[in-house]
Order: sequence, then C-alpha cells, then structure tokens
Amino acid sequence: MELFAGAVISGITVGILYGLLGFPIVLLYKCTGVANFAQGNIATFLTFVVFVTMRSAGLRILPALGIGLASAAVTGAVLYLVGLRVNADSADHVNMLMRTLALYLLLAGVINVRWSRGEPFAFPTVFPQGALHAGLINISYQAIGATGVAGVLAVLFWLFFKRTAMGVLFLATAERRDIAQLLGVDTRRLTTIAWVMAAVVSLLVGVLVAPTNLLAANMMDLFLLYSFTAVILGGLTSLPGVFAGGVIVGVVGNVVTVYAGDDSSNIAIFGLLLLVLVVRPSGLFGGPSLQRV
Amino acid sequence: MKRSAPATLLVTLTMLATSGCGLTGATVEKASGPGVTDTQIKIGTTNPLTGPVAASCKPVSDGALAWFNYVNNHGGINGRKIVDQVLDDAFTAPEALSNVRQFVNAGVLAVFGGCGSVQPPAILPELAKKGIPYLFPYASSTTLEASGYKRLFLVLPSYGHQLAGLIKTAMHELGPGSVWFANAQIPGSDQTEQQVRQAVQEAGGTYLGGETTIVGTSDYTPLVLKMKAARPDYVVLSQGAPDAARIVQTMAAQNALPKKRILGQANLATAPFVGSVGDIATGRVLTVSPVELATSEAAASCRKAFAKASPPLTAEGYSLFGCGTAQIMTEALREAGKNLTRERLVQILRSWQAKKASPIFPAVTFGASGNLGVTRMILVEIQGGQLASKGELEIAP
Repeated sequence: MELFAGAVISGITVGILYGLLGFPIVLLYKCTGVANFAQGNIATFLTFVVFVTMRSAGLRILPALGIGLASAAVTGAVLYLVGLRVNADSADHVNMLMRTLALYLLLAGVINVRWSRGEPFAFPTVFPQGALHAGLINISYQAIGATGVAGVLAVLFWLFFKRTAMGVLFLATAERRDIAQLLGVDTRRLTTIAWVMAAVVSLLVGVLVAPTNLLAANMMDLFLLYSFTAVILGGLTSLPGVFAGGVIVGVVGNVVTVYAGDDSSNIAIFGLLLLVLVVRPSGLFGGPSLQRV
Repeated sequence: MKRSAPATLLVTLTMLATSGCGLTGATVEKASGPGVTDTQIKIGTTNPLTGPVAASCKPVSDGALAWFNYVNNHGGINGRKIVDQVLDDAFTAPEALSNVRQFVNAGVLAVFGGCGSVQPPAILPELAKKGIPYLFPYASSTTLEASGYKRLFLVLPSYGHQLAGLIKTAMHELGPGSVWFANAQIPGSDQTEQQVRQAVQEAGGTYLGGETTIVGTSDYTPLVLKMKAARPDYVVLSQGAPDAARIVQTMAAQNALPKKRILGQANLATAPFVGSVGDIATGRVLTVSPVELATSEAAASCRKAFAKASPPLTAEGYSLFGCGTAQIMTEALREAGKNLTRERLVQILRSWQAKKASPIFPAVTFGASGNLGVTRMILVEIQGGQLASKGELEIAP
C-alpha cells in the first residue's frame, strides 16, 4: 500500500509538470490553432541560457532566472516573428505545423553544438533542499514548490482570461480569429504576446525539471511526449484540462511502472490516449467542435 | 571532427579518387590494400555526434582524432598520415549502416572506434560481408563478443562481464549481500541481467530482482521507490552516464541509497556521471574503467595530445578511451609496416600476446579467434567528486 501511495504521489507531482509544459501548448493552440512541437526544446534552450548565465557571470540561480525570464520573452517573440509570422497568411495548417517541427530540430541542433558537451549538468533548485516524509516516499520541497508554481500560474492565467480585456480578446481570437480580425482586433500582436507568455512558462518548466532530471539536451524529449498526451487527454483547448490530463498521465505511468515495469508504462499511457480519442474525441474536458452548416 | 556537407563531399570524392576509381588509387592498390596510399591511411568512424548520447560519445571520436593529429604532426605512421572520416549516426542503427556503406564505397582500410551499444550489432553483418576490419568501438555487447567475426577487435568487455567482475570483487571486499538491478533496455540487456544474476549467486549474494528501464525516462521516482521497498545492500546500474546520474540523484532524494554500494559499469567512471552527482557518490559508488584515470602518469601522452587539440580536450573516461584506442591503432599500423593491407593489420592484431599497445590500456591479447582483447579493468571509486583508482580487477570473458 505504501508503494502504491508513493507511486500515486510521485505521479501527481510529475504529472503537474507534464501539465505545466502542456499549458503553453494549449495557450498557443487556442490563439493560433497550431500545436507547437518545439515547446520542449524551447524550455531546454532557455534553461541552458540560465545555466550559462550562472556559469559565465558567476550569478546565483535567482538573478540568473531573472535574466532568463527576460531572454525568454525576447526569444518567444523572435521565434514567432521570424519563424512563424512571415508568410503566415498564405501558409496552410500543415506548413505551420512543420515550422514548429523545424524549430524543434533547429533548437536541438543549437543546444547540441553549443552546450551539450559534458552533459548532464547538475542544476540548482530555487527551493530549499530537503523533503517531507510521507511513508515510503519523500516529497521534496522542489516538488512541492513546482506544484505551487503550477497552481499560481493556473490562477493567474484564469484571472487573465476571465477578468482582463486582453484575456477576453485572446479567447475571442481563439474562438473565431477571422471575425476578431474583422472587428479590429490586432491578432498578430496578440499571437506575439501568446508566444512570449508560452516561452516564459516553458522556461519555468525547464527550471523546475532540471534539478531532478539534470540539464541535458534531451531533458524534455519524453516530457514533451507526455505533455502532448496530457493536452489531448485534457481536451486540447482546455487550460484546466491540461493539468488534469498531466496528473492522469503521471499517475498512470508511475503506478504501472511500479507494478508492471518501466517499459509497460508507455503501453498504458498511450493505450489510454487512444481509448480517450476513440470514446471521447474532444478529450475529457474539451467541448465538441461545432460548425454551422 | 564534425564535417560540413561540402567538406564531407570533398573527403568522399577524395577517397573515391584514391580507392580504385581514379588512376592514382588503382596504382596504389597493387602495393597496398584499400584505403592506403603512399601518403595516407584512410579509416572511417561512425559515431553519435548528435542525439541522446552525443555528449558522452563525441569525446570518444574527439579523443581519437586528437591522438591521430598528434601522430600526424610528428611524421605519421611509416610516412603516411592517418585520415579518420567521422560521420554522425545520431545513435541510430540505420544512420550507422548508411555511414558504413559510405565507407565501403570509399574503400577505407578499417572502420574504427565510435560509441554506443545500439549501432555496432547492426553494422557488423555489413562489415563482415565486405571483410572490413572493425576496431575498438566503445560498445559493450555480448552479441559483439560472441559474433565470431575474426576481423572484429574489442577492448571493452560487455556490460555483463564488467558487472559480474565488479560484483564478485565488491562482495569479496565488502561481504555478500542482496542486490537490486536497474538495467537499461539496449541490445543484449537480457544477457546482462543473466550475467548479473549468476555473478550474485556465485559471490554468495541474493538477487532481489530489478527493473528494465527505458533510456531517458522522465521520472525515476517509481523505480527508486520499488528499489527502496526491496532494501538492497547493493544497487547495480547498467545505464548510460546521464540516466545513471538521474537514478542516483533520485535515490538520494528518496533516501534510498543502498546499505553498501552502488555498483556500475564503465559509464560511471566518466566526467558526465561524476560531475553531475557531486558528493552523493562519495564513498558510495564502485565502478570500473577500461583505461587508466585522467590524472595518472599513464595518461600523460593523451593529455599532451588533448592540449594541442583545437579546441583543447578534457581528459576523462570517454575521451581517454578514444585516445587509448587510437594509440592501439597506431601501434598496430606501425607494426604492419609499409605494405599495409587489411589482412596484414588483422594478422598483426592476432599476433599480439599481452601487448602493451597503449599506456592507458591493460595489455592486449586477441589470440587466433577471440574478439575481446582485454581481461582486466581498473577498479574505481568516487571520492570528493573525483575518480580514484583502487587497482585492477579481473574481468572473466
């Protein structure tokens, strides 16, 4: 029973991180209609920026993170303006999807060439060392802190979308981009802001993952896979749904690992994904897609 | 050395021109074998320069290139310069096979070095079909050891053999105990598990079981909880350096470090592992290294070559392995003399009896048909974030 409880608790903590990485994927999908394959490598790239800043400038984690957040904002805007926005009006959906895939590979290449020698790297945590003991499992302050950050971000974004004019414009753009444009909404500006927010959240995920998973070029590869699963399970357009999806993926994965082995956990996770797609195509929390005919 | 596309094309064209397609090459073929001209010895290396193990594997080919450059700058081998064409296989068997076909077309003397346990079993049949010698990959595989291909030469025992030797040594020194095994899913991992289980039983210990893991697993907590519940005296790791480091980090976070030691194969005697686990590993990890440690006197020649490399290389487990195998290679080429062919090279290697071909490798003996040339490794522990030698141990093939 202790082992089961440990697997569930650890599944929840890692699942929240899957959800957190899935969060910017949903955000961008809502705003642009494109699933961003590059999200994991954006997180890794920006975490390396923080790491290199710490090493080269001799800074501690918090000041370096401050510089990293500013870099994330710039990086998010540049990636969108250079990689996605140019000729976007004449590009179809597949073209945009392939652009995010190209970004994924481009960032992977840059990380490999510039920073990967000698990896993995120990990465400091922004939270205190130590852990709470709960039976067999130790819940580190790092994991508790990550859960807290996820919670704060979820509340902030909920407030943003529900209580601010810009948030409402985001939702309007996501719902009917063409009509929003006709009504004078600057959708390009909004999309740029969405990319900035997505990059900032990605950096936070990277900084939360790196202390336990160690900083490496492929640090987010499996995370991205599980995050996409969380996004689909949650309903692709549902911001709360992505966290629920992440927790489901984390708990199922960890419980199956404990009782059936690491190699069986992927079978369970992706089997569940297929089941949900077949039984409930819009995901557990997504609404059905309606079209006027 | 990672080459740009135009550079690769240039090298390939040059190799084609001198390996039988061109007049010069055709003339040279009569005097020497494929890949050998009056001025050059051409060999090929397929190695992950990108992908999940690139950070560990690239230093292997960099270390070898540093030694070859050092030798070339001091006159080469019997008047010839060594040209090692390194192609990226991204840790995938299809890419490695494609690289080997390029080497076949280019007519290299041998395929040398490289790193990774996934690609070598895949490229071996192609090399065997063409009769191309395959020398000293950083690959640990019972499949390779038992291949029977007489032109395959290994200086790294399989992970199973490494761990069996280590388990017996550890239990001899620290007493028998219970063992839990975290085994990465790579070709030959089933045999590794059998060898570990057998070694534990032979050493008087108890095999508690373990887990086969996926390379790059995102969360090792459930695995470690399972390990913790089993309360082992020893935890045995057959993992790449990054995953081993992640597992040990998670063990520390979950207060699941074993009562006696963590035992791991050669990947733990490298900078990526030691650098990322820090003090956690001090006094808790026993591992093995195929080569003498970076700080040893034996590694002086490699350190000298690394200092002259551009950019300078760090001497550690992977880069030293590359340098050491390049030293064995240059020694074999030197002994093969002016009339260098694939047959002659194989003949020289087969003739060696306890040959000290590199200052950092144990003496090498291949005999008439064996693939593995070494039966000893360096026993290593980690103290204060540094590797410390504890002498040699026997690795029974």
